[in-house]
Amino acid sequence: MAEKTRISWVQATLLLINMVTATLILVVPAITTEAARQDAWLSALVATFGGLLLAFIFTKLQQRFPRENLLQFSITILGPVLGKVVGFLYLWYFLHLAAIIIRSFGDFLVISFMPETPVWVFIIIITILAAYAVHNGLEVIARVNILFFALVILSIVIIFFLTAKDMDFTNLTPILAEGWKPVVRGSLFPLAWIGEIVIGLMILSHLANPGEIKRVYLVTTIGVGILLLQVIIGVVATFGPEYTSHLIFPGLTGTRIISIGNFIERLEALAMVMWVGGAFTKICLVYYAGVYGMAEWFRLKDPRPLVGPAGIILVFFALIIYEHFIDFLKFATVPFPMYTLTTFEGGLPLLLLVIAILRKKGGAGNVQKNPGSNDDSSASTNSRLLEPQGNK
Amino acid sequence: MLGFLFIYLAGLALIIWLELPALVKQKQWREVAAFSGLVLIGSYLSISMILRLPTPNPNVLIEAIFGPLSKMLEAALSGG
Repeated sequence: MAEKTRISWVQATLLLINMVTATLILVVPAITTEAARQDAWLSALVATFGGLLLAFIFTKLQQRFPRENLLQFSITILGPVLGKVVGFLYLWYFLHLAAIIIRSFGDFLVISFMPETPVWVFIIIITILAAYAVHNGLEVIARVNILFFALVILSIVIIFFLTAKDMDFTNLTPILAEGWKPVVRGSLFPLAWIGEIVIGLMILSHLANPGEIKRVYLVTTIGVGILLLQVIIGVVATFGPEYTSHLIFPGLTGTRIISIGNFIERLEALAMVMWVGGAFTKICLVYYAGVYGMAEWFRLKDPRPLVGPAGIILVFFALIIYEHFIDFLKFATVPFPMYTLTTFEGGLPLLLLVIAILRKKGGAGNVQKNPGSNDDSSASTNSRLLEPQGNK
Repeated sequence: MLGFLFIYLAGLALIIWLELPALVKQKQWREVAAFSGLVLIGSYLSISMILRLPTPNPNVLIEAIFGPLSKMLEAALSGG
């Protein structure tokens, strides 16, 4: 693809943080608390640590191929046939994830704010909006995301400080009353969501300076971890583990109880800002990865014609994928972490990295030496030179 | 049901009208083929959903494969 998109490391980091966080903090506290009870905050730490391991795999992989995206380097590593198979699996993952998040976006608005509006209205509107953003490319998404990110962070911080007077930190004790097992179990779900930074493998090939790949992943994972920890502590300290695990959207309920001097009340709008801003970024990014991945898979020059048809398929999957949001929670609790962590977020990247090391594909050390200066040509020729001609 | 069909066809017509003429004019046949393929898949799925015909739901498959595995893991971790 002859696309000259370039984004800075700040833009990439904010994209990834916003993509994971905004959707993570609304539903995850409930599921994690259900498994780990009052130790949910330890689960957040374990999940962040696991996220760092995943980020390490993604960093090593991307550093070997700084100017290639996931679909391109899977072909370089595995050869044309197996590479296309892996690429196809990832296309499936992107579309599935996009459909899930579009549906959750609609469900959240229907359940919490507009119970009489049918869900397809929200689904179609957000898909059209996201299609427009994807059509305009990654730079546009990255720029509009900075605005959304500011709103999301502001909302999270405001909600935390306004609920602070209702918090009772004895709710967080006793620590490790039942050992580490519930904590690990509770960490699987947030880890599956942090692992969505695998989408970074589709956008970091557009990084202006490929030497900053490591920084992007590190800052993203730690940033997400801190926000998750803060939200889980806030929610569990406010409601206690028993009540938190029965809520559908603990983050939203947290804003509903805010009442300061009988004056500052009913701040659900903040939760809505958080959700709409974050979900929009996430939909755009996953949709982008799906469409540009598809164009790569079909070897098209211009991915933009595929945006519309892909949108039709997304709307379809978003509509049929669940009967009700409770089905989503069930799916997200049991098979989803296993499904994503063993394949798309953990298994396949690890496999690709190991095979790349064994077959000595891609350059590991030549990225940091010449950052900035005409990085595009040098980096891509490096990886092309290292690629043997007749590889199978 | 007819209303949904109408919305769908209107949306489809809009997408085709926006994208296809430029592609044909520039003779980008690969793009035309990929575009048409996706439109066909999307139309098949959407129209069968609108007409309430059975449609594939991927989550059922995922649950069938990974559900038992996760249950095993859950059991291993819930012992305490």
